[in-house]
Amino acid sequence: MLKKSVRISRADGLEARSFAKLVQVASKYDSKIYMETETKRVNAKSIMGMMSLEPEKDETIIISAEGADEAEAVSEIEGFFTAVKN
Amino acid sequence: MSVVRLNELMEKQRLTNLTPEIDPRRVKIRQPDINRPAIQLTGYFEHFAGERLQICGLVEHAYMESLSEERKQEIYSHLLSFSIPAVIFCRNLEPDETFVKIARENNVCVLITRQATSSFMAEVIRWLNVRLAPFITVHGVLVDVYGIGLLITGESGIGKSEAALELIKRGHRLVSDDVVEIRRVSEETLIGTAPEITKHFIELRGIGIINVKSLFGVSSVRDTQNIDLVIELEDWDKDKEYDRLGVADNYKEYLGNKVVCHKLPIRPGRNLAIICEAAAANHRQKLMGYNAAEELYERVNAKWQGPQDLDED
Repeated sequence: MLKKSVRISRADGLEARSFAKLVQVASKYDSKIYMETETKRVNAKSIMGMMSLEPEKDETIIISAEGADEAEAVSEIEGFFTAVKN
Repeated sequence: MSVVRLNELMEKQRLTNLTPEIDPRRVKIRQPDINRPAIQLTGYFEHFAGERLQICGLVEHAYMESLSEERKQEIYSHLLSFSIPAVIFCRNLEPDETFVKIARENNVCVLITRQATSSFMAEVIRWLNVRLAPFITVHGVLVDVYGIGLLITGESGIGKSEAALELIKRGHRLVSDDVVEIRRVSEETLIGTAPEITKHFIELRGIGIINVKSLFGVSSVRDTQNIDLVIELEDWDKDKEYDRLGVADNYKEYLGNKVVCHKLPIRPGRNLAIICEAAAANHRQKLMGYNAAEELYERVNAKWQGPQDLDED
């Protein structure tokens, strides 16, 4: 189990389409991946879950992954939240 | 930990904002308790619960009116220096300009309601207690089947949403797809709702998002429902033993409350919706005092004991 907290610094903020993209990124991996904010914990492979997370810019979220490819999963998702451009 | 944003309380209670320059969406309430700041207005700040909502009624308002301008400056500055989420005045009593000005400087929202103080307090405490109840989100689908709140869980892509869709087509009601927010309002009751943002929506892989309320009508959705029964879908494992009689109940624990849980092995061709419907109906019947598995058990026992009794005669 790998956990990492990330501050959302993505330049373009987060909109519905970015979540759809993020879910696809997460779904590539076999690991179980979860996202946590202060109040919620959702499955990163579920589009409805990710939409309901409603993270704000500069909020900190925790990415946790468990499985054979957890390290790659966490680092790719972390990159997603901190990307300067799309 | 649960959080309520001030704008939600304002909408619910139809409060008027006297400090519109402060964004109520940024103000978070974490405590279901409230405080009436009468004694603090007199200058006594020991044990002051400054993180609570502050509610002022006739007494506080009348006392504030009686203060001199210098005293107002001093007391208000002290009171509003705490991280108070908001100060609410009841009975449409407007605070003086000094109060609003100092509140604005300290970034504290000042709100007004026309309701009477005691009943307003009671309602706010009740509402906050539900909203700030211990809370988790689970990955699953919550459907009302014959009045039983049925939570269907299982891995991504196992067919939860499809089962829910079929149940809706059969006249049952959707509460939430994919993400269910569960609140423990008492030791016996868990309440499930949909996150505001995904309410009434279902995601079907390959089709996308559908709006159940607009496709199937208002009678196909429900805002909240208790969680009475859990069905856990999993891939059929032939080495695993599944419950064949259902005499003993299995339980799943959420926030310390136990809910009856059935593990349901799935295989192509099994009609999940009908099984869910039968499970809910059977659960209702058990609640009404009849248990089919027990009756079968008794019939079998009677059959075995019957001939022995005859031999003894």
